[in-house]
Amino acid sequence: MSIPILRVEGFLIVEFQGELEDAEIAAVQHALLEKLHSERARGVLIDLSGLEVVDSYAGRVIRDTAAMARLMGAPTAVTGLRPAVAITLVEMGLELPGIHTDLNLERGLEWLRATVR
Amino acid sequence: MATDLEQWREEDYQGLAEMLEVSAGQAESLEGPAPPEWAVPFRADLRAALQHAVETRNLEYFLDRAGKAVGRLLDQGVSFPELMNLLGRGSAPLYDAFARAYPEQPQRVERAIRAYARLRDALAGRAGEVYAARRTEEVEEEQRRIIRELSTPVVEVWEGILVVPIVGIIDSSRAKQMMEQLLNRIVERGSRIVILDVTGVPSIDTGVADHLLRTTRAARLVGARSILAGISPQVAVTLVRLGVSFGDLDTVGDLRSGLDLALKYLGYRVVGPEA
Repeated sequence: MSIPILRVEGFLIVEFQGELEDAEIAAVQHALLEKLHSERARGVLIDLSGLEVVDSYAGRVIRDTAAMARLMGAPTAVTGLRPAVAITLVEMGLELPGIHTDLNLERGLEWLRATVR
Repeated sequence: MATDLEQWREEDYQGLAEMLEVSAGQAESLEGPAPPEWAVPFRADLRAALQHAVETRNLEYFLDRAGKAVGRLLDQGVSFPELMNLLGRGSAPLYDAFARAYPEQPQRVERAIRAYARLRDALAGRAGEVYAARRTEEVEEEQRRIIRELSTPVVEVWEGILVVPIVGIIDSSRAKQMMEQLLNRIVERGSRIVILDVTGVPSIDTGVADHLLRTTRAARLVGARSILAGISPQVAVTLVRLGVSFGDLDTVGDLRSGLDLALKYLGYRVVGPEA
């Protein structure tokens, strides 16, 4: 199963769902960065609302992906973390420093629009 | 246990055995009004237990098994008065039936009735003990739950603004519970600002500061910005001496300033009362 990367209003949106294989997560990181580069997207939104648990590998890849997208000049938001996922990330020391985080996809999009305006 | 088991003599067991015999098969007809549904298996269980206890001359076996059966009924929601009511039923008809079975032997009747009455007392005593132990447990659990909740209320003071007034000592279990409660509330209400009010925290050391920081980081991950309010002069002195830094977290002296800042972040402008 590959994770789709959607393009909306010039932003790239990735939605992580269910139980993720390490290889899938790594593949989506690669695909997202390639697409960001080739399509000159205006921003990136990573939505985790479909993720019930997160392990240290997934947490690290999500953090790194967000940081890489930002390095490439795209404002990046991570949204929809469930309380349990947020607590796990903080406990693992993966609190996504420097990355915008928001309640849900809608609010993340609002932030992206306001940021690139 | 208040049951004087060692005083149960051979004649008592014989009396009980005879009582079982007489009541066999007519237990139901000895009843007055129809017993509740749960009573039927319960009585059958007690009867089987008593049978075994009398055969093995081990009354503790009966009381133990009866105590467990009482516990199960209480778990099922049968009330204690209902239970005592059932246990108190039907002695008089049983005694009458026994007297009719041995019309010429008043001593035998008396022996059996005395043993049976003692058995009922012991049974009622055991049921009472089981009930009391359960009540104590329930009350304690309820009190613990109330204290847990009271200790970390999360109050929505304005659309999008939550206040957590923290009073007392923050240890790691309380910090964890506070974090969970706060995060659930943020997600549920879609709150954007959290004010952690530490006016009621007597002292903040490195450990407490760390708990507070983790809470604000987790809150940020679910989309809420934190403001730390209520840093008193003494606390400020301690924090700086300890070298504790809250990084770029907003900290203000009191809750009022925290609310001002929160409203500002949300784009509200507070105007004075109309002249």
